[in-house]
Amino acid sequence: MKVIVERIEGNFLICETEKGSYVELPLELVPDAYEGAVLKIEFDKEDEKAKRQRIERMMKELF
Amino acid sequence: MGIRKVLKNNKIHSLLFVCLLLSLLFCAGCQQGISVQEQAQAQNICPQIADEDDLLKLVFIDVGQGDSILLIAPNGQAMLIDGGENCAADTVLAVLAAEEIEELAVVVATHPHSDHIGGLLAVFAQTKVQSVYMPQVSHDTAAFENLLMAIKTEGLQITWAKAGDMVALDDSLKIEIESPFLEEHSNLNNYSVVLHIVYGQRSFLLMGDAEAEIELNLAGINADVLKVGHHGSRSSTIDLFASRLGAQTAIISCGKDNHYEHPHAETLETLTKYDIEVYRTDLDGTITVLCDGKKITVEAEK
Repeated sequence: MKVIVERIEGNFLICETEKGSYVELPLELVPDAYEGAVLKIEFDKEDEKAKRQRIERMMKELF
Repeated sequence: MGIRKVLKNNKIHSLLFVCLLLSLLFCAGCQQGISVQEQAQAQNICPQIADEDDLLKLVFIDVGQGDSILLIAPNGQAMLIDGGENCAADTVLAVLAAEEIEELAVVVATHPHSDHIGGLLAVFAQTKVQSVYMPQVSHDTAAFENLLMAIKTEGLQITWAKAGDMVALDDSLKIEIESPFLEEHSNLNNYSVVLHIVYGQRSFLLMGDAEAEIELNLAGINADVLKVGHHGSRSSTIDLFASRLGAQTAIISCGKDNHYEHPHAETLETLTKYDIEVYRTDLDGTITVLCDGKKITVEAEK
């Protein structure tokens, strides 16, 4: 999903969702965000898979 | 002969030039020579008040985290400055109904943030609006697009609000736009339409969400009542600005227990330092300010 940075208040990004509602994100997540920036929030299945494989490998070695 | 004529003309030109220069210097001298007090009086000069019973009314509506101010001129004409968030629309409409406002001569959207423009959608849908003032700046949100759509649906055009322009609402009232004063400002808050309203001997300064860089430019302006910029955030109400304002009363529009901790302690300290009494919509609810041109009374809902 995509959100647009509606405004920045202190350490929060106030984001407008595609439904027109508002969510707050900590500025820490996107420190270089600016008013009007469109943020794409998506899954990273590749990264998820790679991490899982790595940990499973270690688990097999260690148990 | 020809040469003499030219010389003569040159003489006239240089004489004119000197006169012009002198008058310019004189004007500049006047400007700089005026004391702060004289400036205050000059700013407060206003057409005659018809009747002392004629009141200017400003209602700082408790819209939670956001801004919405209803101004009712002595002649009954009404102006709405911001409309809070979309979810505050019913509150704003209820105030318009309670004040028996069927038509708004002016709507000002100070800047395109949702906590200022959200509630205006319902206002345009349900109330007759004659004119709209906005800073000439865009925002890519649905909230802003919806506002433009609502204005378009009403068949209205938007007046570009910029420093130096006046809003004509009532002959006894002077409403001057103090900011935005540049074509480009650093962020949307700093595009805020700042209004200086003078009625008789009293004046009001409504800051929208304008921050320090705007206040620096406005330092020296006088007002009895200040609608504090940016919900009392530390981004605004700098010492230099507050110290020279001469205000007795400050209004902060913010939501109860808001996430951003508005108003910030620094802002409250600055206002206290200069003996400015603070009213807050989060604590006092809707705040009504009445002025007869001399006296100002403040009524808090809670």
